[in-house]
Amino acid sequence: MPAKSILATIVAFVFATGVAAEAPQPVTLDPIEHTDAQLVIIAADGTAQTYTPATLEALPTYRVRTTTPWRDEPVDFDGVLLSDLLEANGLHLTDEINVIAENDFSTTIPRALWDTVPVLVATRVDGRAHTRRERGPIQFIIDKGSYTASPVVSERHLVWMAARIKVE
Amino acid sequence: MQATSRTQGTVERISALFLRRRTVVACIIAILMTCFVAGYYVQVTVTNLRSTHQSLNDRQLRNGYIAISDLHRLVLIIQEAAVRGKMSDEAVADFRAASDFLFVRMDTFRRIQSRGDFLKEADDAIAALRRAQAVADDAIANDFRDLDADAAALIEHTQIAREALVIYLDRMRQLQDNLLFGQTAAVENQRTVVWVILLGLSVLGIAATTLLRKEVMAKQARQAAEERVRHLAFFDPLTGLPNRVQFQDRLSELLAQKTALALLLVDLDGFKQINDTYGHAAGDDILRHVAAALGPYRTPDGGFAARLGGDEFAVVCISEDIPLLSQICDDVIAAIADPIVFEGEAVGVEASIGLATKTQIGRQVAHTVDGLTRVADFALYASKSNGKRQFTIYDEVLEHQFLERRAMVEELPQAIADGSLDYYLQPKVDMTTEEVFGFEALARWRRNGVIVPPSAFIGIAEESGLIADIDCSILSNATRDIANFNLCHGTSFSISVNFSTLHFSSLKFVETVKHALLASGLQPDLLTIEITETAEMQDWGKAKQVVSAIHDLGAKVSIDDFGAGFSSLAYLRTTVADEIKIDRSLVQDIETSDTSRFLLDAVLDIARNLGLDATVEGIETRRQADIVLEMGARKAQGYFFSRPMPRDDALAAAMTTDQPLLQRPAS
Repeated sequence: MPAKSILATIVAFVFATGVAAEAPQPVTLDPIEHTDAQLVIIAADGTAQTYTPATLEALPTYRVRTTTPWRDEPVDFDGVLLSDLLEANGLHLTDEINVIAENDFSTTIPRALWDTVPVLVATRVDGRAHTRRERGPIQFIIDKGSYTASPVVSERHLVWMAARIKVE
Repeated sequence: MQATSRTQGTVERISALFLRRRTVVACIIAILMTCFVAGYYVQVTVTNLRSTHQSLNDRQLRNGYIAISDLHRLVLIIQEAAVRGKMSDEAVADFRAASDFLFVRMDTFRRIQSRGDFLKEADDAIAALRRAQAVADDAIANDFRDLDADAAALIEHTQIAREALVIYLDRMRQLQDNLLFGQTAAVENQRTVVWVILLGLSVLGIAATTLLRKEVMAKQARQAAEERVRHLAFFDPLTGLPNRVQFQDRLSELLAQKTALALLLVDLDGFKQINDTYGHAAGDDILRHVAAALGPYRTPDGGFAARLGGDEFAVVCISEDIPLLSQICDDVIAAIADPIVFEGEAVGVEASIGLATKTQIGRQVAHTVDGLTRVADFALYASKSNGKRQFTIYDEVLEHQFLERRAMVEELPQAIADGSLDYYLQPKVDMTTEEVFGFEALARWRRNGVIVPPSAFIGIAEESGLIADIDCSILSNATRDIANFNLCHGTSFSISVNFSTLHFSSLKFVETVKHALLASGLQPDLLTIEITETAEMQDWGKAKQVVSAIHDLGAKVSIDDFGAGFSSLAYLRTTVADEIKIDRSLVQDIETSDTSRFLLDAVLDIARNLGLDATVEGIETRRQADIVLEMGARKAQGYFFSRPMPRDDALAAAMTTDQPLLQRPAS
């Protein structure tokens, strides 16, 4: 068994037994006008799939109410799960992904994270279209409970203005 | 060697220093103070580091750099538009996005900054960013109507913001340097503290180890010394055999526990000669050899061998089987007689044994260690008397002799005190004048109505130490009686008193003679001290001093039994005698033997040549008297003239002049 799988199993066990995180709730979203933005998913073979906030919401949508390191008051974030998005593109079994923001920020997210923690790819805040000045239009959100409890999660995984997901 | 001694001295001084309670307390306080100061110093350093670290983290630095990048992106878009003279829709979108980036960056910057300590440079940078952001927002709100002015204003504020960010980043770099410096200093401080503590602990460890080692060595030395003392208390260090103390303890226990038990007292024959001839090292080898020969008689049932002192050993056997014990005695004698090689020479020694068993002791002897040892010693004495290198078993005959001897020892002091131990007088005759010129006082003991000859009790008296009392008593009485007789009758009889050579080991004896002369009033030249020669006289030098002191008193010294002793010629060499008394053994055959006559003549010749008076003893016949007279001897003594008689009889006979002495039959 690969070391990463073992780590994932341990992390899953920890979360299943010790973390009282608030799970994202499925939600149905009415169409709205979104800020212009794109999330391009680039597979290892170079093929790319481009999503706008609207096309992202074609996937099952969920709602998470939480604070973030930049929000003192909790708000409702709506969007799709990263795991669903990756699975829709056949990338859910990959070991890690590289996420790049519009301002060229870049970070790596291991599979243990999306396998154990629900990562929401948020496109709306409190029902409104997510804006750049609110760290949108596409932002990776993890509810505070999971964020605090998970040993895998760090602030750098809460990517804002996400622009690309790339698999090496 | 000196260096080692100095080092030991230093260690001793340090150990003594650390053994003082005050020093130990001072060391502990010093170490505690050092640890406290070091700990406080480290804590202060850590606190400073934590404070510095709170003001600085990588996100703050990264945020500053990204803010500059965001500013650059914004300026680049509007500058390109200004060059083109128009803001395209795409440029507007990019400018909006860049403005949003800057907005978010500023917000992030502010939030990160709000978590840490207040930094003026950060506030200045955020304010500058906010102003640049406001200019950008104004340009967007005005739809870039005055593009050049918007670009100029934005460039100006961007420049201000960039400068503020550079100052902020420089401040961050300083903090980073301080952090690194602080970390380095903290590590160095920790290193110093660790060194100090290690040094202190090492010193304490060395001191503790030294003290522990010293204590352990002292304890081992004490244990060894105690063990040595215990061993010396109960074992003979030379042979390793139990000593007299242990012998007595164990024999006492065995006497109480065992019904059958035998004691062999082993005494070496001629051991003194070995010491004199080969030295004490040879003597020690002989003693070890004897111990090895006796060692096998240590048995599981309690039998053991011991060295009682000198050349005296003992073997205790848990048996009274006489044939077996006899065999043991033979084996011991044979084993001891087996010579050893000392410095290439075969040296041998022989042994005599006295054997006594517990049940053979009669009722009149106590069944104690002392009782058993005494009877075994008596048997040993018998072995010695019968020719040595043999063993004697203590039996009824010996017990009778033993009891008789013990009775004599017990009675002798009383006999001396009540006068029953008296003296007889035997005249000494001048054969030329046929007159008695003096007497020899001879001890006699009237015991239970029977006169006991000296040969029966003198040896016992010598062994028991009573001989001095006997000799002194006779000296005192004889000088007093002769002096009184001479005074009353106008005679000048001399008196000769026998003394054992045992007296000649101390000048105290001279005082005894002096006191007798003073007390009696006898003319000193009428007193002759006759030395009864024995082989035991050890200190010839001391004997010569005593003889000289007697001469100084005016008394004379005579060598008794000359010719029959152990070293008569040696006496002549070392003593300053006035007279020799020629032993009867040289006289008894002169009537029939030319050799005897020749020997007697030679001895008389020696006496003449040395200027000594000679008195011939043992004259028993007229013929002997004639021959001796023909040889030139003038003084004689013997049964032919008179046997020893009671004092008054002898003196009365001497005063009788009706018949010449040479014509008298022996009385």
